[in-house]
Amino acid sequence: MNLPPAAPGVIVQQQDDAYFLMDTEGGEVFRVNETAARIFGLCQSGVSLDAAVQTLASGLNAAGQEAEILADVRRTVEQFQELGLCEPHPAP
Amino acid sequence: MYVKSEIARVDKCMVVVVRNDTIDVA
Repeated sequence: MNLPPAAPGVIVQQQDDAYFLMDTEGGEVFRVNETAARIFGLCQSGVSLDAAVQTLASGLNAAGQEAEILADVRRTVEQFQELGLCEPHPAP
Repeated sequence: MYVKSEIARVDKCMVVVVRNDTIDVA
């Protein structure tokens, strides 16, 4: 299963240690932490759920926490979809 | 250590100013 693609017009902005997801079409701005920003970037890349978990585990020095990461990615992606930041369905 | 993701909804609103596609934070 692939992560759902990012919605058109949504961009990531980083300002020092702060990350923002900006919906340039809807005009909404969301402040997110590094983990959420990384997950959104993976949605933009169109990777699979498993690949996303592995990427986060290695990128965040969280090897061995794959089960927790998987649950968090699922929850985060659902939030992205509810907020209109990601498409409602996974990429084929 | 894995830190769970956090998302919070934020022309002007720490002060965040949005101009076109850029964001300024003060």
